[in-house]
Amino acid sequence: MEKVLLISPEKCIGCGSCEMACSIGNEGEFRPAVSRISVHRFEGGQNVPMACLQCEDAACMAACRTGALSRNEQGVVVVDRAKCIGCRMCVMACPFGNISYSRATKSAFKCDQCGGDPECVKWCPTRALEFLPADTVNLQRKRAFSATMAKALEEVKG
Amino acid sequence: MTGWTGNVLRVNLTDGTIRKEPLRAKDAEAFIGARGLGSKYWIDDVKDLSVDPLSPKNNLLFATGPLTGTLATSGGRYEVVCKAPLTGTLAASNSGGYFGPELKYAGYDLIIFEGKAPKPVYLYVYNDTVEIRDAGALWGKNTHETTDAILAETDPDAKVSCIGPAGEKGVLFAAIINDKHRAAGRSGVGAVMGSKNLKAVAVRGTRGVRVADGTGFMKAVASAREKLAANPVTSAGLPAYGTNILVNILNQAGGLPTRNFQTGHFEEADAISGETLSSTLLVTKKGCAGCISACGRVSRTTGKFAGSGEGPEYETAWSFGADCGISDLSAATKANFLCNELGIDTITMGSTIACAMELFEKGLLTEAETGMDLSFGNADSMVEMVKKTALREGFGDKLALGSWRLASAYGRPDLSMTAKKQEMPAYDPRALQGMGLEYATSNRGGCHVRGYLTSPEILGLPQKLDPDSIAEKPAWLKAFQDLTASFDSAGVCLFTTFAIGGDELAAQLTAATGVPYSADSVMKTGDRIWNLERLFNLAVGFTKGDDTIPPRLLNEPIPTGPAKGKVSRLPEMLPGYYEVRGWDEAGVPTDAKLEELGLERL
Amino acid sequence: MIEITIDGQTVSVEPGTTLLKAARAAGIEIPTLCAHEGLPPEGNCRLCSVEVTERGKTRLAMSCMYPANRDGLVVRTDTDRVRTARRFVLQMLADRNPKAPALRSLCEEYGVTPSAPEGVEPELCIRCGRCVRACETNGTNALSFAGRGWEREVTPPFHEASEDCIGCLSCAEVCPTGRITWEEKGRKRSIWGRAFDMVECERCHDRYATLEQLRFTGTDPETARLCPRCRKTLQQGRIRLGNREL
Repeated sequence: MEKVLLISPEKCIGCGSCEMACSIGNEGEFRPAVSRISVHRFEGGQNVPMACLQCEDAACMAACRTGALSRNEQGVVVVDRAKCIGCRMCVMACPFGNISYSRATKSAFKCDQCGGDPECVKWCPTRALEFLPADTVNLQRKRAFSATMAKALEEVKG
Repeated sequence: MTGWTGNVLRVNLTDGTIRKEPLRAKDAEAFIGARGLGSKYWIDDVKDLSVDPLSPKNNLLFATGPLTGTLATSGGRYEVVCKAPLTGTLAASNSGGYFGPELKYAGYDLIIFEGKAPKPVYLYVYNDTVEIRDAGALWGKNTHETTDAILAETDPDAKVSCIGPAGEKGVLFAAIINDKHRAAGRSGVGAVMGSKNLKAVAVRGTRGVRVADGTGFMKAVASAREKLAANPVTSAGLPAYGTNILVNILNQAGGLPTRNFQTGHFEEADAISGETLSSTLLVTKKGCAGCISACGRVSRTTGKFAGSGEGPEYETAWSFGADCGISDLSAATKANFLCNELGIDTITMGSTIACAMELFEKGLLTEAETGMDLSFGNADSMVEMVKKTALREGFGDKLALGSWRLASAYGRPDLSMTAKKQEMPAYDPRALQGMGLEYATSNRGGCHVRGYLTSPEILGLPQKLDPDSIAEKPAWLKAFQDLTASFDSAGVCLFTTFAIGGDELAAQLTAATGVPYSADSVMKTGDRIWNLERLFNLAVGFTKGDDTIPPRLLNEPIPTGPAKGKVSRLPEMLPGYYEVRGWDEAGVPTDAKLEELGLERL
Repeated sequence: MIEITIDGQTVSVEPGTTLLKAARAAGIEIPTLCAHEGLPPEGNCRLCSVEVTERGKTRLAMSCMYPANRDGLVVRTDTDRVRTARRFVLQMLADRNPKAPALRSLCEEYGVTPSAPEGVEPELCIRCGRCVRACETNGTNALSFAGRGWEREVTPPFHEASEDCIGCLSCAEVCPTGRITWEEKGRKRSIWGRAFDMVECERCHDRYATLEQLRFTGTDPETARLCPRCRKTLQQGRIRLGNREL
């Protein structure tokens, strides 16, 4: 079964283990600035981790002209570095800021769920991040989270 | 280098020059980082150890460790090192939050500030871009306003460490506050920063910290994390109740100092306990970088003490609570918020107010002088006194010098609950014999984070020791002091030592730095750091006579509570302690000891 | 699927796969300068020449353009003939562009020494056309080759600042030699003789894109007010309110 990355902000303690685990896994060093997941710590103790939601109608993919972005069998939007030409249109297009571009590697980069075993989930101490089978319950949870975001976005536009 | 960034930033505030220099690898190996390496750099750079702490000649270091900014167990710490105005010892004040890691991500192990800026400034570091910027408009602002203003004019994701009005005005126990709520609290490091006209350090770093052996490192972290997750204190007690879980525990042991250490039992302790905090003011818990325990408390008060922020820690709930005879947790929490906003150390602040309250109780202070009723238990006066002290208004100007100078001014230095002029925290040495020895011998004076014998004496970790026995305490204390020195210097949180020890630290350090550390070498390194600090103290005139605690604790038996009738038996323990340390009868390290550690006399 | 042989190794590929792709998939390295996996092949640099034997005939072919359409095709990527052809190409390129870093290691490998002929101004452009193809692929079409022979060069139409350019920097990112440069100063980004106003993020003030870039991508004006990093923070803030009220 496919799996979904579920984020529960109310469980997040803001330790940033996810950012460190992601960056050492993907970049070989502890470097939150290039982590595919990032946690924002708000006043009042609210912490919100955020990574790519693998949108069904992904703006990044639609913007890419070279086929560098595609969806794999697990439903995850992945970057083919060799095909990226550095136009950054995906970066401009994502309304959530979940895809970035690295001048050093000359490629866009984003969460690819570490090929099916996300480091951030492994190292999250409070299960604010979970990687669970895409059954009805979990899909519903994921949709609820996405709906919160979509609603928020609509409110901004409205 | 790995683990370490290998870079030191040297900022001369007098002439505005900024230099990037390579980290001295040999010293880094021998003193690890943060507290140990920062102290080594301070001593080597300043040379004249007798400098006035508030003069431009006192260097001020922001020092990270090789594990800071990594996934290491609670590796979010940094240390502020300078000569301390409160004590005259070296200050090394430790803080968590997210500032330390950000400094590593910007590419630096240490920032060394020299001299004094001609006018108020702050330092902005964005990787290789380092600027001394004007802070004229920030002077006088509290730490929250300062942080917000700097984020607005630099980068919203920068991390800020700054002083409040207390540091500007030279309050001798002013703190440096990072991430708004985290304090490099003790010994007056904030006053040193203020004396340099340095309002803040803001850092944004987008680089990485590399480790020598990534796979090995992650394995070492995973194994250490397992131990933290299995330990009742780090996995359950701290997350649920914060450090304030200790109020009831210490009270039940008769070791919760009450009304300026007049007794060790507070009748209303539960009202200020972690349990009460959790069911009343607590909003949520919060972790520093890389921490799984999340002992941080986000809380909110309402009513006349309305406010929001973080805290209180155990020491703070105690200092503004039991020590002042106050059972209003909102008042203690509000005082905590104020301390963070104004930039003051909560332990010394509360204990200094408690001292003033005892002077008031004894009639040595009058309301005409203080401007308010300073009776034990008066929460309104306590909160008011915090503000007045930070701003040095009225009687607060006298409190601003700490309890030792205050009590001395009224002819009663014995009423100052200090060791080496620094206020002792929340463990009565008469009920916990080991903690008495710890206070007396701590290189920075009264302090609980230099060898926390409360762990075995009360919590039974790593094994239970009778708090009232003295025979084994010197050896245990030495081990705890040495271990703590290495944990501090590595950039990881002291609280992890409830669950992990030298083996786990060594494994993480080795994988990060590529330098082969072992449990033994970690302990020996801690011993080296401890002796370096001791050599400093001896060089600036401290003697065996300063290794003591107030006469009350040595002579007056605890009058009430479970530890009733007990006094501290420090004099019986001290010679044994000197012996296990390899020091002579006067408390001076022997030649053999120094040779073993590779140290020279200062 | 069809089976072909590359350097003695049997390789199974989809019909139509270029020889370059097939070789790389089999772990056989062929040097290239103009090929880019995100762009259509054009065979400009001719460095990827290989020897192809098909129906008894052996000839040189550009592997980036040559599709494998028939079982039994035999490819050799490292024969004397191939090396001689590559040396020739490299010598020409290196003589004109002696400083291009991308050429230096290849010259070393193939034993080519730039001869710096008299009267030839050293430059960096190797006429690989990656930039032109990137701009075409993006749909901006602001760059093309102009002139012929020795005079051939990459330029915006009529050597004038192009109205079609959006300042996205793709051309510079795909350039293998660093020939295409650009500058950011204050609020302006300059490339190909045109200066663009940068859009400043309302939160962090990072000048993160040109107005033309955002327009071309069709980025919602509300979204465009923030740079990607701050968009994320904004979203995080909105999620926070959705989950817990303080």
